[in-house]
Amino acid sequence: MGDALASAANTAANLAWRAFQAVNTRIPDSPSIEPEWAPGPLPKSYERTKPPLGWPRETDSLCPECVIEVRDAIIAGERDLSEFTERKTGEVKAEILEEEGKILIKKTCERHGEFWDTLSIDPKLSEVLERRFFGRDFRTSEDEHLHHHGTSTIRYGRGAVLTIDLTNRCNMMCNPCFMDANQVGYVHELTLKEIKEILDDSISFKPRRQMSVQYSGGEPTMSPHFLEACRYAHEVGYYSVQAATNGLRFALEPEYAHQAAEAGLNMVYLQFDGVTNESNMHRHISNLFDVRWQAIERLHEAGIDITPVTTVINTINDGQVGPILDFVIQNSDKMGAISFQPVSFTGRDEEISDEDRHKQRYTISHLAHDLDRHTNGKIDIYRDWYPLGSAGAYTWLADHLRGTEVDFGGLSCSCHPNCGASLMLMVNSRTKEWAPLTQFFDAERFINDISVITDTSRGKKLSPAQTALALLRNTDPSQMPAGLTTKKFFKIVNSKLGGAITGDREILEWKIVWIGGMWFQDLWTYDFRRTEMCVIPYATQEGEISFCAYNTGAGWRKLVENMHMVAKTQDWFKENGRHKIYAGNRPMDVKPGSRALPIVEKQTGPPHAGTVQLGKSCH
Amino acid sequence: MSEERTHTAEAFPYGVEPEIPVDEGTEDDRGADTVNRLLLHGARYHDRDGVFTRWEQGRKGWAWAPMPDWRADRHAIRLALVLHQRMGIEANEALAMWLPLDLEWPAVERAIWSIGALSVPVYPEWNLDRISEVLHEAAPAALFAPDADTFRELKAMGGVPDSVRATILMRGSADEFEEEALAYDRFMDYGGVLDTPERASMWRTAVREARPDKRISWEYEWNDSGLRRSVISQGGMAQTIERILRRVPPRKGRVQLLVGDRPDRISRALVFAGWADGLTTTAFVLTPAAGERAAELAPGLLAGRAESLEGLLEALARGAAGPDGNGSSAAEDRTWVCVTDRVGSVELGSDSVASGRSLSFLDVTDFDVGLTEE
Repeated sequence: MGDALASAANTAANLAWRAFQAVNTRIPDSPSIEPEWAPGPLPKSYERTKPPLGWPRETDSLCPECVIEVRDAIIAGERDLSEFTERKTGEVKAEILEEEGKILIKKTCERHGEFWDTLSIDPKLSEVLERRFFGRDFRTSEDEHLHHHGTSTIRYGRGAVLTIDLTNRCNMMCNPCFMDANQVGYVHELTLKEIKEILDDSISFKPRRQMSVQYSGGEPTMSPHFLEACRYAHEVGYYSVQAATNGLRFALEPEYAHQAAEAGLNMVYLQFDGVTNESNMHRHISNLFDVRWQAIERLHEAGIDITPVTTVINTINDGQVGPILDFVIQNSDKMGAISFQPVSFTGRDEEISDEDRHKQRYTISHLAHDLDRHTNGKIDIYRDWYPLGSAGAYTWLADHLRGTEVDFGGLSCSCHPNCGASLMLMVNSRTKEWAPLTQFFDAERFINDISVITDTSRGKKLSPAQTALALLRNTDPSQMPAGLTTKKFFKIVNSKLGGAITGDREILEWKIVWIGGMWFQDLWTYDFRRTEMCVIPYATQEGEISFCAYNTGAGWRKLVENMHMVAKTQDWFKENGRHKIYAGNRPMDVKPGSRALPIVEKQTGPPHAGTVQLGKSCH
Repeated sequence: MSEERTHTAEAFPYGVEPEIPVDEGTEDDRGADTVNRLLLHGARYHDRDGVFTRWEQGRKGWAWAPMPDWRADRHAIRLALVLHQRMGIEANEALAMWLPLDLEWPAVERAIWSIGALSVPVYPEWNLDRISEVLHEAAPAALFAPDADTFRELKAMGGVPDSVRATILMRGSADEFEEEALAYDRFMDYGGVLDTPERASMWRTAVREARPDKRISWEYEWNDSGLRRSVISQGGMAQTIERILRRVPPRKGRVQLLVGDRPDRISRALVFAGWADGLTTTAFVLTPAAGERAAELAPGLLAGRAESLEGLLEALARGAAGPDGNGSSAAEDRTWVCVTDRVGSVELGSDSVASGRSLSFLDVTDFDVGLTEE
């Protein structure tokens, strides 16, 4: 009965939508709203720009050898930083083309010859992803104090995740690691004053962004300012405060997760290489999976969201992709996302041989095929994957629905369609029943509907009504997993839109689990059209720099860290003492156990301080 | 005195990475017989925006700035680590605290207790001669002093005994004193770097193991025969806190105002009781401006010397009569008053802080226990 009603509603909504649009699209579009946070009116879909897409196409890239030479010369003081900020040193043209069923990038340097690499093993998927790209976000304005990195400058968008390296110190010794103080020989660590300045600067231009801030490193919890930095970001008003962490501190110190949650930490991106201790052995801690599990339990107990992050390397750990998906579904009460990151050959990996690089290259298309195989086609390559940049459509809708009376624009992931892709699963965190969301929801048509809603811009009553119709007409209840209803699904969507449709946010046992593939560039795949649309800027003492330009490309990480290093590592240790490092393939001492400390709430024997009603326990 | 169980250099080595088990708490924790354990509890179980608060200028101008529990806990850990690991302060050594009863006080004193050392409060109304006398008698290993000027003055008159190995200046720079003194901010920076999960867990283990008879503080006063020293123990302070909490049962959202900067043992006991109970926020009222804004906090308990309290009550009455009329907490039908420098039930000039809200006076002799002469 319920299904029949839902199907009837779907049909009726479709008819109503068509009838409404028959009139609506004949009336001239209403002017777009112009919120205070935006540099201008919210653009119509036909005003949004896109980078050149399709193939063959030409783009601007880098010679992997020239750029390293120049970077090293700048660090040695032999050449000037203006090589990168004012000239196009190391740049070459590249061609993106289809050959033998793959999408390749090819480029030639006059001095160093030809370079090529694989961008995709599935041109059809690449075409689908580029087709589903929603368009660029605003062009940034009055941001010269933060964005001044020559051809690596970020030019579009409000960004999604502001990344801040708090320290390059770490309590692990992974090999190879190109960031840790022990490996690079110097300490780069921000003071609390610097952290505050960076956070304040980041919201000083338009579009003023409802960004997430992600503290990274090194291991960010090694910074003495980690908790204060979480608190300050929360106070400034960042949408979500996150940390990219190895989880050791949360596993080792029971109080720390709770204190971090109190300070404002919302989410951790947890380094996660596999679901067994064996699959983590390359990190040189023999029981690292047990440690991670301890961290997951503590973080969950403290109410901090957990997103496992896995760097995937072909022939090394690509076999873990499926098991990690299963692990997250089984633990969906604790985790709402996975971030797979196909390998990017940066740092010391820039020295990799061509043969090894081609063998280990893993792309978003590899990920899509691996998950298709692992789930026996339940995750459909061409139906379920969307570019990360398509999420900008939902933000666009939320921005329209929330109107002008908000201080910040919504968090918008509007990166280049080659930067990554994702799919969403509906998972019942109790029964573990799951299905791809796009099995029963036509997201592509819904995104088109969003364009109609936001283009026509019919105000505070008709826009939400159209949104409801669009949701209904694109939802096929007959394809929903057992136990999920249209009503529950709408409540979840409303919650994801920040309560933009009905105002309230309800938590249900059904959850949307996000499966992301974030493919950062390296010197062989580098494309400046991607860099200028970066949504994961690194915020540094030298402004905000695209993630890829920071970690590879011009290699701003090395430049910034050398310019602002605190001390040589050995000197720093002499001054401040050493911290413990977990390495040598030894186990760590973690054990599950009761966390009860207490004197309270149990009246036994004569009354004492413990018998009074004390704090209800934030822990 | 029974043999004291402390964390020795072997157990908590200076400059050496400890290999320690993760501290999960033990069944022994069920006894609330030491102030250390009460405070561990408060750090872990709480339900409030801030354990302490102070009127200060922040990002958005002047406001009451709460110090959340996590920060107070981390401060205590970091102070303890730098005192012990960097400055080599050992159990049973004394540390003089010449600073006002303000936001920093509780963390500093808790840190001292946590490493098995003794705090020696130096009262602000003492002149330099008296401070010098107490310091020479107590022979502290370290001194917390207000600032460079006062420390310089004390040094000039020979008031700093040779026992002092390190001085921490609470405000301003310590550059002129080179190795002899360290600025509090720098001191905390060192502590932040030392604050690793291993050391923090070990600290908690050590804190939990202190025995009730462990001495934690020396109190000095002058009588007809001269300088007199009393001692407070872990158990003694815990008993005092216990009595306070029984007399004034904690309530979610309560704010207790401490007016004046004198760190007498009653005021300190109130501060630590508030920290331990997990619900109370202690507001330090050190300036007239803070007093004028105290009504915003709708305090449920006022404490201080009689003279300071009179002024505070007047300010609260003015605040209550303001546009918000919020000089008292709606959740409580009376305001507790603790006059820390008078014995027995006392009356003050005012008898209410807001219309319909009566004052209930606490007799300090009810809960001032645990102090023994040495």
